[in-house]
Amino acid sequence: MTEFNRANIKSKAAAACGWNFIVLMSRQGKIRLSEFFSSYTESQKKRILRDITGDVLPRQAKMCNIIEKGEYKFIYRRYASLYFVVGAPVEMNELIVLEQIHLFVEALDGYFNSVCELDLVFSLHKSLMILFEMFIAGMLCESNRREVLQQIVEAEEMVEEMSKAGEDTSSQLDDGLSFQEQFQLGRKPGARGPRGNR
Amino acid sequence: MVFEKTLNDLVSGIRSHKRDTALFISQSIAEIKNELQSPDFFTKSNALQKLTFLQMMGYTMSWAAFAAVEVMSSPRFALKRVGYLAACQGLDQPENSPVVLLTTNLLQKELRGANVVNTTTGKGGENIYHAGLAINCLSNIATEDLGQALLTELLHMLNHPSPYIRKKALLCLYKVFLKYPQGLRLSYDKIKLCLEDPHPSVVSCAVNVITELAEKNPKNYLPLAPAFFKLLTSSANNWMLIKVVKLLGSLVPEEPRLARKLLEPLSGMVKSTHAKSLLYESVHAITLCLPYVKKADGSQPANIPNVVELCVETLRSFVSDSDQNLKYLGLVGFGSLLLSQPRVLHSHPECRGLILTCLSDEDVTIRTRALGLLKFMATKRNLVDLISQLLSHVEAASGEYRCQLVEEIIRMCSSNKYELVMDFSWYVDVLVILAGVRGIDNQGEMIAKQWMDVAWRVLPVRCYAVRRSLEILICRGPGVGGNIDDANESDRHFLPEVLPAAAWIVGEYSQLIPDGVDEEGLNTTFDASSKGPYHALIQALTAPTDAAGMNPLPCPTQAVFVQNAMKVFSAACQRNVETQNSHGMSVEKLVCSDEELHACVETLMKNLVIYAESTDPEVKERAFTSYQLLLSIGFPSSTSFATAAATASTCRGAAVTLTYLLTPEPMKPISAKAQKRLAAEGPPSPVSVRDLEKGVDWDVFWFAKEETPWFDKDGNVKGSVENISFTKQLSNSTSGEVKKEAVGTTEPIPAMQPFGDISSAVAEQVPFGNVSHMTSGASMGQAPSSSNQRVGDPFYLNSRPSPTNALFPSKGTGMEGGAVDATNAATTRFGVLTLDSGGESEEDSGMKQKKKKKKAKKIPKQRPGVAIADSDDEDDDHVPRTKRGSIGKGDRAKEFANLALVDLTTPLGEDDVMPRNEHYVVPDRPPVRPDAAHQKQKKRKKDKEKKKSSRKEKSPTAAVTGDLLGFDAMSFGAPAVAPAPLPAAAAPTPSSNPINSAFDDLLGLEMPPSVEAPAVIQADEAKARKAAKKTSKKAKKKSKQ
Repeated sequence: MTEFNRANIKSKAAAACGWNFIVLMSRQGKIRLSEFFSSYTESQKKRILRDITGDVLPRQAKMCNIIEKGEYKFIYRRYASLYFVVGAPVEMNELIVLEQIHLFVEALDGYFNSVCELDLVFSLHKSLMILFEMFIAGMLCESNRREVLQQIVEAEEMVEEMSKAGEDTSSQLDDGLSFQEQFQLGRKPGARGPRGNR
Repeated sequence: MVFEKTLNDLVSGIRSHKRDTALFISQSIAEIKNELQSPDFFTKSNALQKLTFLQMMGYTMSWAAFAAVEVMSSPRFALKRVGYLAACQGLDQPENSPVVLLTTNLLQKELRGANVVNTTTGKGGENIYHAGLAINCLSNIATEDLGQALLTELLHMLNHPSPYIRKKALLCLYKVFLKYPQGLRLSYDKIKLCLEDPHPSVVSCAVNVITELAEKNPKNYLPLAPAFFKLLTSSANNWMLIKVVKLLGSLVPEEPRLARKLLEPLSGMVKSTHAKSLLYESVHAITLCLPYVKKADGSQPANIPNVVELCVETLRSFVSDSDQNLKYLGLVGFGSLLLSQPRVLHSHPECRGLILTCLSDEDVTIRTRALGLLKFMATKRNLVDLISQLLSHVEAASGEYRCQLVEEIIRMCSSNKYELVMDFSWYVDVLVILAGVRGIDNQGEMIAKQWMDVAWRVLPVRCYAVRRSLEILICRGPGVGGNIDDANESDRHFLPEVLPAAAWIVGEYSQLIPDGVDEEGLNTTFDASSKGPYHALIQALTAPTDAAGMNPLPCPTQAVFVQNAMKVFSAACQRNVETQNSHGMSVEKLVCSDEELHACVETLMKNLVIYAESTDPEVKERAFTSYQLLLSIGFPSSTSFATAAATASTCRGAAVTLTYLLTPEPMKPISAKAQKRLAAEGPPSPVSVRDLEKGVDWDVFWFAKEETPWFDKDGNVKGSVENISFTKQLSNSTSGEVKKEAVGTTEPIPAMQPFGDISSAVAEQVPFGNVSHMTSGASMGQAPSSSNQRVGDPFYLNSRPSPTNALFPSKGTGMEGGAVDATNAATTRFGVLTLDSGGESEEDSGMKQKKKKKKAKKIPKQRPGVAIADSDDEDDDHVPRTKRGSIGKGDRAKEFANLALVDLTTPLGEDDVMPRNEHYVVPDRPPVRPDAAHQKQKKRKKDKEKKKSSRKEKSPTAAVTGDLLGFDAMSFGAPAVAPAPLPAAAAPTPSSNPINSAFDDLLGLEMPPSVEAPAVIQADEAKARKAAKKTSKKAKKKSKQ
C-alpha cells in the first residue's frame, strides 16, 4: 500500500454546512446586499468584495460556478444581471450551496412576486429579513420552501396587524406594498418547481 | 410631523444624484443623525432603515448602535424588526461595542416571552416571531457575555412546542458556542435530544449543528456514530443525508473501524440516489473511508475493488458531464480518491484522456484541478509524452496558471529523486525550454536549482548540461555573445535566475567544454568576433552588460559570472597543456589556439577593469582579485605590445597555478546522514588542520619565487621597511607582484591600487586574495592543501548564496576546514537535500526512509476506541492540546480553536453549572475557574462596568436604558429602601454576569443574603446610584404613560 498523507486527508475530511457570507452583486459591480455570517474585519470584507468583482463578474456563462480562494470558495449563481455569490468553507458541498442559493431566490421571488433587481434595491431590509429568516449563522434553517414562505408571510401579517392597530402608519416603512395582496394575487410560492435533481 | 425622507426617497435620491452621490449621502447622514435624536420611534426607525441601506453601501453605522437598541425595545413588531435588523448590521464587531451589553436583558425578555405567551394562548402565535427576531439578532451579535447570559433561555427554547423556535434556537446555539465554548459542555445533552425530535427539519438543524461542531473536534462526537448511522440508512431527506454523510466522513479518521462499515451503505446510496449532490457527497465520503479500510491483519476487505470501480465510474461520468460544476466536482473527487488509490488512473486510460482534455478547458478553476491530478497519471513510460503535451500548454497558458503549470512539470519530473525520468538529457532540454518561458519569474529559482542538481548528480548528462549552459550564456541576449547575426538565437529570453546556474555549471565543469562542443559541432556558432568556445564564453561572462544595450545583470549574477569566467580561463590554459602533453605539438581542433588564448586574456583584462569599478562590493572584490591575479602571473595590463604566442605561453605556464587556485575538487553528493554526522562532530581539531597543510605544492607559486624589486628568490625582503615608498610602488604597480604568502602578515602591505581605490585594496590586501586569507588564518608562510582551500575564503562562505557559494561547502573534504560556522551553515543548508553518495544507493536508502517514516507514523497513532483523556474542566477549557482539533488551519482555525478544545466525553462534574443571572454569594469554596484567563476577563468586565456607570450618569436617554436593562414595572413594585452595598465591586463573580448584578445592586433589588459590606462607599458610586434611581423613576413614569 502506498503511503498517503494522513494530515492532508484529515483536513479534507472536515465537515461544514454553513455559509461564511453572501453578497448580491449586480453585473456592474454594485453591491445589492451583503451579509457576513462569520466575523471578518473591515479590510477582509473589502478584500472579499474586491475579489468578487475581480473574479466572479468576468466569468463566462459556461464556466463552472465555483472559484477556490484558499480557506473559502466562492460559489455563485447568476440570475438575470444579478450575481448571488456565497462564500463557503472549502469542505462544503458545492451543489448544495447552489441549491440553497436557489432556495433563497425562490423565497425572494415568492415574496416580491417575481423579483427583480429593483425590488432588492428598494427594499433591502426585507430581503435581509428573508435572509435571516432562512439562514441562521449561515446555516439553512428550513429546506422546505413552502414552510419558509409561510413563516415570512406570518411575520409580515403581524406587521400589517400592528400597523392597523396603531394610530401611526407604519405602512410607510413597507413602501405601501401589502404583502398579503401580493401573495394572494401573485404567483404562488414555489410555482417554478424544483430545478434539476440536485 | 416633520417630513422625513423615507428609504424609498433615499434610494431614488441616490440613483438620481449620479454625479454627486457622496454629497447627497453625507447630507442624508446628517439628516439621519438629526432624526435619531427625535423621541419618536417611527422617525427613529425610519432613520435606521435608511442607515441600514447606507451600511450596505459601505458606510459605517456603528455610531447608531445605541439608537438601534432603543428601537429594538419598541413594543411594535414592525418597528422592533427594523431595530433588530439595524442592530444585526450595525454591531458586526460586537466584541468592541459596549452597546451589546444593553441588549442582554432585552433579548432575554424576548426569549422568555415566547414561552410565557405560548402557555396562555396555546396558539403559539405572534410571540414566536418576536422570539425569532431575538434569536436572529443574537446569532449575529453573539459575544461571550451574551452567550453566558442567554444560554439558559436558549436551551429552554429547545423544548418549545413550535418547531420554528426549536430550529432557530438550535442553530443559534452553535453561534453562541463559537463565542462561549464552555457552554457546549453544559448543553450538549439537550442538543443530542434534538436528534430525536419529531419534526424532521429540527433533526436536520441538529445534524447541521453537530456536523459543524464535529469539524472542530471530531472525537467528541464518536458516541453519536450509531445514531447517525441509523439516520443514514433510514432517512430520505437529501438535505439532511448530505450532512449525515459528511459528518460520518469526518468521524472516520477518528474511528477507522467505521470506514469498513460505511462502505456498504454509501455505495448503496451511490447506486440508488438520483440527486447529484448526494451522489457526489457519498463518493467523496467513500474516498475518505478508503485509506482506513485495512483490517487489523493488514488485508483489504473483499469488496474494495468493486467500490473503487464504482467511484471511478461515478467520477468519470461527472468529469465527462457537460455541466461544468459536475466536471469540477469530478476532478476534486478524483483528487481525493487518488490520495488513497494512487494507481487507479493507470488502469483507466479513458479517464486520463478526459482529464487531459480538462487541461485545455477555458475555465481556470477546472484547469487547476486537472493539473493537480497529473502527477498521479505520470509513469516512466508516458512521462515524456505527458510533459511534451504540458509544454505546449505552457505556451498557451498565461498568468498564474502558467506558473502553476511550470511548477507542476518540475514537480512531476523531480518527484522521488527523478524516479520517472529515464533520459536526463531530455530533462535538461525541458529545463532549457522552461528557462526560456516568459512570465514565470517566481519559478526561475526552482528551475535553476533543478538544472544544477541534474548537472551535478547525473554524471552521464553533465557534458550535455555544460553544452546547453554554454548555449544559454552565449545566446542570452543581443550583442553579448557576439553572434548578432543569428537573430533567432540571440533574441532568446532566459530567466535571470538561470544565468548564474548556467555560469556555475560551465565554470565548475569547464574541463568538459571541448567535449560538449565537440559533440554537436557547436564551433559553427562562434563566428568572427570570437576565436573559439572559450573566448566566446569568456566574452559572454565578462561582457559589460549595460554597454550591450540590455538590462544590466543583477549584481550577484555578475559576481558569479566573474568567478566562473576565471575558471573557464584556467580550463582554457589547462586544456592546451594537456593536449600538448598527450599529442605533442599536433594541433587539434579542440586545442585552444594561441590566438584564442590571447583573445581571452585581452577580453579578461579589458572587462575585469570595468567590473572592478562596480558599486557592488562582491563584484568589485572578485573582479579586482581576478585582475590582480592575472597581473601577477605576468600579463601586462595592455596586450597591445605582446604577441599572441607570448601571451599563450605565459598562459600555459600559469595553467597549473590557475587550476590550483580556481578549480576546486569536484563535488560529490554526500548523503544526508553523513552531513549530519559531520555537523555533530563539531569543529575539526587544530591538529588535523596542520596535518592537511603538510602536502602543499609550492611549485605552483613559481612566479612568487622569482626575483622582484622587493623580494629575493627565497621570498625574503630585500630592503628594509623604510625603503618602501608608496609613491614608488604606484608607478611600479603595472607589473603587480606582491608576494604576500611568502612573507606573511607581518609584512607591510604595499598599496596596490591600479584603479585608485584604496578601500578595496585595503580590504583585499594582496593580489592572491584566495590564498592569503588562508594563510593568515593558519600559520605564517604556509598554505593549506587544495582540498580545503575554499573553506576559509570569505568569498565562498559568508557571501551571498550564489551557486558557487551554495555548493562549495558540501564538499566532503572541505568540511575539515577551519571555519566552524561554515560547516554548520553548510550542513543546515544542505540538510534539506537528501543526497545519496554516488547515486547508486538511491533506491536503497529511499526504501529505508520510507520504512522509517511508516514506523514513525505508527507510533503516535492512537489505538481506535481508546477513551479520550479525561481531565477536569479546567484543563479542557484552557490547556491547548497539540494534537487536537484542526489546529493550524489559518484564521478560521483560530476562531474555532476554543471550540475544538471542549471535551464532551467526560460527564459533567459538579463544577459545570449553568450560568445564572443571580447575585453572587461570596463563595465559601474556591471560585469555579480561577485561571489567569478568567481573571483577565473579570478585569475587562470591571472596566466595562465602570465605563457604563459613568456613561449612565451623562446619558440623556437614560430612561430607555433603564428599560432596556430589564427593570420593568414589576421590579419596581418593591422600591428599594436601603442603598445596597456593592458586592460586585468587592468580589466580582466569575460565573454570573457582573454587569447585571451591579445594576441590580445599584437599584437595591434583591439584597444578597450574605455580603461583607465594604465600609466605604465611594463618592462616585453613590452618585451613580442616584442617577440610576432617577432613571428607574423615569422609566416607571414612562411605562405608566
